[in-house]
Amino acid sequence: MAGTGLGVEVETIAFFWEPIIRIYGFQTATALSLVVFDIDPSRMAALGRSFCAAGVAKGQFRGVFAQSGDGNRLQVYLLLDRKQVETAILQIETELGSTESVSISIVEPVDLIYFQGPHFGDRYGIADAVFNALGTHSVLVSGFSGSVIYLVVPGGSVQAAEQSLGEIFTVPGRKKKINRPDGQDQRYH
Amino acid sequence: MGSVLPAGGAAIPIMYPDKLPDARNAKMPSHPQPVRIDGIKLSDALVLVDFKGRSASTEPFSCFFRRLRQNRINLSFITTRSFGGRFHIACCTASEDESRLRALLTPGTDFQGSASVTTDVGLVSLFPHQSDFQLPGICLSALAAASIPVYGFATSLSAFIVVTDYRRLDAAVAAIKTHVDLPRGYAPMKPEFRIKQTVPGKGGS
Repeated sequence: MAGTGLGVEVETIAFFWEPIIRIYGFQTATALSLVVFDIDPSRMAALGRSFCAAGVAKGQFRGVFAQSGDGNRLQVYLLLDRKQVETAILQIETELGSTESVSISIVEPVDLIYFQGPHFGDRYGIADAVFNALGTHSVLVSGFSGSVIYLVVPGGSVQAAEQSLGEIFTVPGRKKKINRPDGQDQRYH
Repeated sequence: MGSVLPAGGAAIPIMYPDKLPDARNAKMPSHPQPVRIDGIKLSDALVLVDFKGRSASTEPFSCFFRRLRQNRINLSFITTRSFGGRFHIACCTASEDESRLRALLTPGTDFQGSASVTTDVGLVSLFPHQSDFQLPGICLSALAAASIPVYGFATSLSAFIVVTDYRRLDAAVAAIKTHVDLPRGYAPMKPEFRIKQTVPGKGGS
């Protein structure tokens, strides 16, 4: 409901329908590393310092994710190019390891798929469509924020995952045949 | 780097729990200069659901997201993890959907896991991050210094998004602003209208 400044609220209704979910900006990256560790929330400042130090050291990431973990700890996932792993781990160990041991795991190789679509953050059913399309494909870590979706999959599986996503989403560059209700075929790009 | 190829499947990633460089001689970095960003965006009030469990299959994911779709509950922020026989879905939905969401999570449903709900959360998004660790680092350091909780975070193409207390969003912005370089006169973006998906023919809201 948008305000008009006249004391009257206005509701705009628009109809949008698509037979197959349109996406754009479909990208992949392969042979990455997923650095996994957990921290006590009281160590958030140290985590921040470790990230700052990694940045100062020209460290770059593909993705950064965190969820609450077991025992009220925060589970952190860093998706990195392999050449960035040592820089990141060095700073994490320096800051977080100064007062307690930090258990860091590295999952590799992993691949990344990321894409976005119109109003993905405002429409229900998008995550269901993604995981329904992927079926039994493993998704190690994922992030859905705004209109963007990040999927971290085991190394070597990105092509199969992309093909599965193409059954429900319009993947740019891939043609999909749709059967129209009138019996004629319709092709999407 | 090696990997194990299961029959008919993709390579299983290898976990290296002991691969740590020697950090004993590392020096402490100096305090970084303010990071230049273009903007900060705040969300409406949300609830955070953490759904966790143990499973070797993708069925818990499928079931959870299918039920939310069937009930037309939109998720504005999601992170998932599924490996090592454990899964965790952390997701945010509008506060107005809380009661419907709780009804889906009650015992006796077909969800194979445990769920917890945190109310009155909000999202702080800073952009662009430019894949530079400094922006997440500054943000988390500032929030920690102001004793503002962090329930989760994630990056998108350009934004670093933090889940925190909704009632402390303004305090979070105040804490972060002292460490970033924003355009002159910039004010954080707050939602002025909401886009909501409904069933055709049933009108708005």
